[in-house]
Amino acid sequence: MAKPMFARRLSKELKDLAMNAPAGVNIIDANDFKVWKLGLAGAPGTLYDGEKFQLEFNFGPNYPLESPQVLFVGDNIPVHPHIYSNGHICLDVLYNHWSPVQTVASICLSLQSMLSSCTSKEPPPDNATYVKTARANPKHTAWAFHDDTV
Amino acid sequence: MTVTPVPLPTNAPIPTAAATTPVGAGAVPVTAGAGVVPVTAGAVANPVGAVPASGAQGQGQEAQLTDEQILTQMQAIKDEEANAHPLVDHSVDLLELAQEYENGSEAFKKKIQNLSDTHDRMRRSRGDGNCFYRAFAFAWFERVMLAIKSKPELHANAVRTIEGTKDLLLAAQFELLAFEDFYQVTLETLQNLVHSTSEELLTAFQNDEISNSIVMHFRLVASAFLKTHQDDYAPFLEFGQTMDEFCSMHVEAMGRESEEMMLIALTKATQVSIEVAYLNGNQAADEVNFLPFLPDTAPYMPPLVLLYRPGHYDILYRKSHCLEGVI
Repeated sequence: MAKPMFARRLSKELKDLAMNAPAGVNIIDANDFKVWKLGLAGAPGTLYDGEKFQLEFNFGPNYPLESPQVLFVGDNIPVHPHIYSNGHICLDVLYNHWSPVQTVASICLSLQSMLSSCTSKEPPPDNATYVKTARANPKHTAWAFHDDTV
Repeated sequence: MTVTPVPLPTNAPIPTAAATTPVGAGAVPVTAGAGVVPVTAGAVANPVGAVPASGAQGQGQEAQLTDEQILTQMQAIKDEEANAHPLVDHSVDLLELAQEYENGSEAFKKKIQNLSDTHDRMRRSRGDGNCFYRAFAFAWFERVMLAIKSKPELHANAVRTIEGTKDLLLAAQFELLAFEDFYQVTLETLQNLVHSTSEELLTAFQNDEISNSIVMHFRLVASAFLKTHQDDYAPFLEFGQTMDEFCSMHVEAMGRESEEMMLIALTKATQVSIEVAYLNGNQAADEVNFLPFLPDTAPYMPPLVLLYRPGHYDILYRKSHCLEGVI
């Protein structure tokens, strides 16, 4: 095996993203296999219509067997009940429900659908305390999982 | 959608859906009232939650580890674990298993004694939640390798089967991009058996990347089989759970333990039969119970034999299978 698995997988994902990026998703910076920045646009007809967000993916050497670290960065963090103002995202597939069948593209789609289904732009109720105490890496938070069908 | 109500009722089962709320390192006030959350759920994402957080009392009171340091520590713990318990170990005499129970219950001792009449060796698979898949894959590949001269058709058959899993996974709507690396590693390891030694096979299964890729591939095969045979297996799911939900939570995610349904799925998808020896402390019986898992067609080789102790699978070697060259 010439390249380590994460590099092989990421080069394939990059090519795929370059050719068939999901609507509203664009690559801002993917010059190495460690950190990628992607743009995510709020879908038309939703509360986030016209807004532009930035996502940062950090890949470890065990990707895709282990999940990447994913967070919103930049000056515009979506105001959403499952997104903290430090960019941390409550989405189970990013943590203990991760499976290597997920890809960067599928995560972007999940996030977009999480935004699109939102009916009220509000921060998580415990935003202030969480943001004060959380670590930089959201994977170091112990997440409890809620139903989002509310 | 309304805002997620954060404090969970203390006895609430954790729903299985998509959004989450952090129970931040013991520092989020929410957790104080709902301290049972991780326990009931088994849903704590990361053990690092136990690291003391400096909280609101300001910096410098307690040593705050950087993420980098945490990563280094976690790697050190993993390395230690890897040295103490390889992903797949050398085989040992079955009597070594008996020593584990020297001070234990008579029921175990008696059962192991009886088991040793018909089985002489065992091989441990690491207890990381992937033990069944790893034990199954190793036992199968080892069987094929040991018979490469005497029964080359076992190898041809296995290669055909693994090649066929690609279509099964595609039929179950898995993305080629997401599974082809695992598929490729599994197929290559199998193809290499033509000229592998026992030592090389063991080394491959002790290598994180190769071994975990094979585990992942077999997980996806089991998942794909269940998804493409929903009518047969959906009735066994908890009420209200779809097969896709079950598979993504319990089959496709690394480290999730397997239950009978996954054994059935893998047996049928690969046409490889398994016999599981159930070893437990039940006093009522002196013999270990064997449970067969059979494919739909007549098995073309003797079953792989696995040893089950509550929560864990290892590999067993049956005397009558006369496997020469097991290391």
